[in-house]
Amino acid sequence: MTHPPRLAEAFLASLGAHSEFRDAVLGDLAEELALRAEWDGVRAARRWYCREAIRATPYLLRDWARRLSMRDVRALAGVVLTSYVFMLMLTLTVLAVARGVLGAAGLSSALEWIAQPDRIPLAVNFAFGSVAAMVGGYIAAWLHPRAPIVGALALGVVWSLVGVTAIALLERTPNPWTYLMPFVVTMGTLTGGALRARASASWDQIQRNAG
Amino acid sequence: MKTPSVGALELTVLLAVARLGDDAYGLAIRRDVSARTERDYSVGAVYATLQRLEDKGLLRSHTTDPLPVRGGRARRMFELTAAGRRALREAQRVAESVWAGVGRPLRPEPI
Repeated sequence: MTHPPRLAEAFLASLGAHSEFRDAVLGDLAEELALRAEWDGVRAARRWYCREAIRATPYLLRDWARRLSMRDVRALAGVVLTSYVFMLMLTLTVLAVARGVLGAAGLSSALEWIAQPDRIPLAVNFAFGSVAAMVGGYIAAWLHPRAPIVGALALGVVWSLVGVTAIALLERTPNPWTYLMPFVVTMGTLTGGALRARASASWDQIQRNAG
Repeated sequence: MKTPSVGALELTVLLAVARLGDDAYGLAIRRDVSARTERDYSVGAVYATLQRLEDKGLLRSHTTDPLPVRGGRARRMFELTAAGRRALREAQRVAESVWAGVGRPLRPEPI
């Protein structure tokens, strides 16, 4: 039997849809994957699965939103706030450690460079931003086990909104490329969330096998 | 009792369920609908429609035992309710009524 791509399957399973709806969709995808693997080959079938996973995502998200209660909204807000604060603390800690290490190594020019974020090239900012977003997405997904991807996505959206507002208000002549940051951040949080979903799916599988 | 109104895709899905009988589950319904309409519907779109029809009381569903070919997941089988059959009859009556009076087959547009 051909197994579905683990990341895509974990992603779909983590969108918070009702278990009946989710299992029906995942079951149909798995069944058709097996048929397509016989007809078109395993690689083509797995590509088809990934495409279908993307097409099914809005419907699974809509099913989650349909059942949303005030309590869920409060829980999600808590997840976003906690993971955002955690992320900020982690970023500041990394910067402080980098400064400490560079200072101890006597690299004062690099220390000055870090102290002035305006002089850091945009590509470095994007790279740092996507890594930070991935870590944030992973944390948000971990804090929101009922719908891990939704937790990560909510963090990405809020973070992006805060970022765009800050750029618009604080920078007089912002680099137009800076406005790509929300996309980078959201993709980063979603990737982090998907990695968390895959890790927890593997853990569930291990437990099922052990049981 | 008033029959709930159904959209075009909902009607196509209801007809597929009627046609497939005991074999009506998501994958078979999607294949039937996609083949007849010549459009590639996503799994999510078909299930969202099935869910809506179930909420309207036109369909009911039950799950089978888990199957290895579905990664250990059950199939969700659908069948028409009495209201679903009434909705189909009503849709057929309306279609026949609106087509009535079109005396001969429509000729294709000249190219």
